[in-house]
Amino acid sequence: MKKLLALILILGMIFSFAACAQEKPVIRLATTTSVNDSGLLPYLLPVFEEKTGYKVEVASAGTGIAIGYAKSGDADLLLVHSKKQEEAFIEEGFASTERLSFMYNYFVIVGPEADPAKVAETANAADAFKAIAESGAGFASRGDNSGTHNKETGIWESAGIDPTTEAWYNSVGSGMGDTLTKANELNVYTLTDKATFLSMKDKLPNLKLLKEEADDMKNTYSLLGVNPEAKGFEGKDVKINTEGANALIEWLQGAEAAALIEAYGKDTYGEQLFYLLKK
Amino acid sequence: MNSFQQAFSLILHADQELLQILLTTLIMSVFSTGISAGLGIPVGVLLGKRRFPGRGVLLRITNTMMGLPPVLAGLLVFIFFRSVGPFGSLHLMFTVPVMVIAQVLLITPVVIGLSASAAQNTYNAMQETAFGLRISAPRQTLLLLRECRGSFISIILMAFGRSIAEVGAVSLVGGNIQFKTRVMTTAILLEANKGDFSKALALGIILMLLALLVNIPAYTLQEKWK
Repeated sequence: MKKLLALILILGMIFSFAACAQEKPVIRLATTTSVNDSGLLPYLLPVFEEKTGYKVEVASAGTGIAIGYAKSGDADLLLVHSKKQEEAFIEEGFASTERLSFMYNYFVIVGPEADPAKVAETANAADAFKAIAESGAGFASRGDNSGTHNKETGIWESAGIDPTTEAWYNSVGSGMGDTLTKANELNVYTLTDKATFLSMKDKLPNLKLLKEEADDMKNTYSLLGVNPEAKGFEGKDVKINTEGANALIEWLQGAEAAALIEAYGKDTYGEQLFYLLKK
Repeated sequence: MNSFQQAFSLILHADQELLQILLTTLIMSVFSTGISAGLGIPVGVLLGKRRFPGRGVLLRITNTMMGLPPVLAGLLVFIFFRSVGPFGSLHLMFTVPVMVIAQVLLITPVVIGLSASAAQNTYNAMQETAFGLRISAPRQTLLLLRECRGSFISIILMAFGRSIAEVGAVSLVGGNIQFKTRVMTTAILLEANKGDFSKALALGIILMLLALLVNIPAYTLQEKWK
């Protein structure tokens, strides 16, 4: 009897879950850990959901896997920050829109309080990376092919250094939060988006913000719709919620979202974290 | 200590999100365990009791599959079930059923392997007596199942433990989506990645309490059937 009751209870739960999913088709947003973990999406999306009645499901991973989900037909739109990978995505015919860059923030270099490489005195990120390499003070890299990792690789390139085989270079292969935690434990430098660093600051006693707002440290976020007629989807039963994706794209670029984005962070961190790209 | 306090305050204030995570975890683990046991125990008993050509090969394959890394199981299921994959038309990505499929792939070989060895040991011990008493083959099987039921409980518990504790496969195919496919392990990983170790630990404590809750009645049953 008890078993029967338990079974009925479980089946009831499953059916109630299924019943919930019957309304407007959900929007599947694949994005990077930085916009989600920094709290920006949990702050913006409920407003959009309330207004339109859509439900947005966020799969947050590094840019690499986020784009992988989209290419697999399992995301309706992307919110990412890696120009090279976005352009490749468009070139392969997976995008239904152009690269809609709509906001940016700054990468920052954080590191040991004592700043042995004197990063704080450098002019830009490339110089700062040169100083770190020369001092051999240690660096933690995301190493996960994410937008942040690609940005970091680009800075090493422009500094003319290949750090990957150096003993002081730690490729941790993980998300932003985890990489910051490891940099804190190892007492080394790392490149991070400012929002994630500020949101975790009290858990990172060894790390200090040393370099920010240089012109080669800008971090641009773009939206990309997924093209249901992409060549890679031919002959497959791929269902893309284009209508929903377009609604979200339009809303995120609109006035309501703009006001929310500009206000974000001011209460909690006392400063603006994301800036709008002027059109 | 802080984490223990946080764990209890999380339980006491039982917010909707935590309840949803616990419920998803339970549904996923119960179904994974049920299906794996339903498939694995009969096959395991067959492999343990019968002698037939190819049995050795099957046992070796099973034993190899017992070591299947969870993240590899997740990757295989992802490749097959993503929308562009062979089973893409089912549209199961980022749902609880696809997480169950990944776990069944992971757990069934372990259930088969352990049931086979339990059945074999018990059968070896009872075979001579059964032969002497001229017990018929179907009744021998029934007797074997009855003798093994204590072992089956441990095997099912092990399967449940493996299912509830798994993180690599379920985060890849489930996507760790809030209010939908987030389970205890992926929630712990997320909090740890955010650097909130005390909340991560608090969630871990709740997960272990859940495991304890399942183990107590199972242990009683097992003692009774020894």
